Amino acid sequence: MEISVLVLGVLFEKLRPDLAVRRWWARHGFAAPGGGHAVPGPVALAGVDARRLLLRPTTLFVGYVLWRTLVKPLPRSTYDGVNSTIGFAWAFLGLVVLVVVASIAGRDRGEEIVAATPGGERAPVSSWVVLLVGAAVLEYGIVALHRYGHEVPLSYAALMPNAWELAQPSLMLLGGGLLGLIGARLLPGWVAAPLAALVSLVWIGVLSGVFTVTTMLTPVVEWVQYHENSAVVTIEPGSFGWHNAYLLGLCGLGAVAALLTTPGRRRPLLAAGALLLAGTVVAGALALP
Amino acid sequence: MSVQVHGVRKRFGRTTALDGLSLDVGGGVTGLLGPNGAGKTTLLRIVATVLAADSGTVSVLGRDPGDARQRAEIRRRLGYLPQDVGAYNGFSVREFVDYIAVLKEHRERRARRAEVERVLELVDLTDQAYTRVKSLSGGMRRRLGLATAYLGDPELLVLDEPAVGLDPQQRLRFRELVSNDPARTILLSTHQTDDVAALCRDVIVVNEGRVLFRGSPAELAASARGRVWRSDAREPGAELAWVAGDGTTRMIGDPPPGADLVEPTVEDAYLVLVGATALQPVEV
Repeated sequence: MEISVLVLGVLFEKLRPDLAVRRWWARHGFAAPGGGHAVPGPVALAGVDARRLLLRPTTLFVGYVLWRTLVKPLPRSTYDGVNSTIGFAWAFLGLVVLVVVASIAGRDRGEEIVAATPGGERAPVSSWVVLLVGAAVLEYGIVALHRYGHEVPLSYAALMPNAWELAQPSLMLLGGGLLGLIGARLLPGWVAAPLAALVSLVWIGVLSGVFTVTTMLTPVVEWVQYHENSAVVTIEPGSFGWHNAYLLGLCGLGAVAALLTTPGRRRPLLAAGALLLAGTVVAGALALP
Repeated sequence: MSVQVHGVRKRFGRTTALDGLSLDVGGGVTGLLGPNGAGKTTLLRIVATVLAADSGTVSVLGRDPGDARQRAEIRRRLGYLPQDVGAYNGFSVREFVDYIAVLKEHRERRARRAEVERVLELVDLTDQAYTRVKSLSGGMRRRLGLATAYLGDPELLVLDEPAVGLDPQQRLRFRELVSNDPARTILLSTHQTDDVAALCRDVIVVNEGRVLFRGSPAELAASARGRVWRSDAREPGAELAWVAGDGTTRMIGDPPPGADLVEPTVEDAYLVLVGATALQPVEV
């Protein structure tokens, strides 16, 4: 299964059948759809990239596979399905996004054709941040839909993640993407993607294996701990709300770090970074049990 | 004047790229000639606001590129074709031009689409609109870069070796494109002296970071009068000599008394000006 997904993905990327379809479409006099409204620069640029990425056969194919494996089974799942599948499977989407962004977001680095435009090199980086925020919000919507979209037995209701806790996978996606963006801005794509993935896996895997005080400072925290007898569960201590605030602070720091890799005014970014750092430290401390 | 550069110096480590260079560029096409390493690309990068000078003053379209706001204003009215276009291989031609159009603040989608189609038509890439960038030849990539430079009908075009890799038909099309636009200021660098002779109202010869000559192509050619002659074989006063198509040897240097002097071309005059340093980079 995994190999056939990989092979099909590679074939789609090599052949780009969508371009042949669009060429045929244009030759037969059909104009591409498009609105007539103007939007801010980073949003417009994010829109161009989002449209380009979403309409690629590879994305459509991977999206279909994710839907079949992650989304479709959810309505039939029990409370632990919501906790584990939503919490982990959706959180690990951040890793996929990290690799994709790390592979392609470095394309603007040092390109003079981009540097000579009004926004300079900072505009594409800002647009990546906008794109990732958009993707995180979309993911939150899907996860929330599945959390609240089916009935949960009353006895398990207390173990279900609340609206704040559900934000964790989205923050993972945002944080993963931003880590990929920083990697792409500083390193060649073939180094950035595996290195950023390795860093995040070590961070998640090593620190969150066993619950300790520091678990609340890692990106992924399980809402419930299952014991050998799966009927017995305990809810993790600590504040998940503050954990989210801590993750959001890290994401903000990631965005500032990515923007600092571009030429331009640095002082406002450094000031924002200092404020975010202070806020992240406070949120992290408050998240601890 | 669209571009004013006075006493500009730029060093890269121990290498001096521009050594107190000064020039003014007004409307029409101005050609920048010079051997490799003369400082042409550095000068164009400074004018295109992607590189800052170490010292000296630069004014582009009446604004100071050192000031962030004025720099953004210059970039709104500037089209730049760098030496290396650096187009993204994964994009189609249309996607790449569209992407740069958004960066150039064409945010209204319908108008942007029309503008992308206009510039693709301008450089004859309409049929390749859905071809991937990585499949393009060197000349097509150059035309792709040219298309992005023309986005938004800029007041000032800065073109670094725009005709490299173009086939003869496309070169003529390029000449047509550039020469039919007398109101625009175009600053282009090239090694092709015939392009300069055919296109440029003014020509500036640069070598070792300094301006050696400024004038019209005719004035440049005239500056070599009495230095170009022909004979059956190479003669002692010749600094450069080559056998022409008619079998005679054409020479540049100090002609002997009674030599058969010929009317110099822009290329002859350029070679006289830059001397032996031109032998390496210029195809003669």
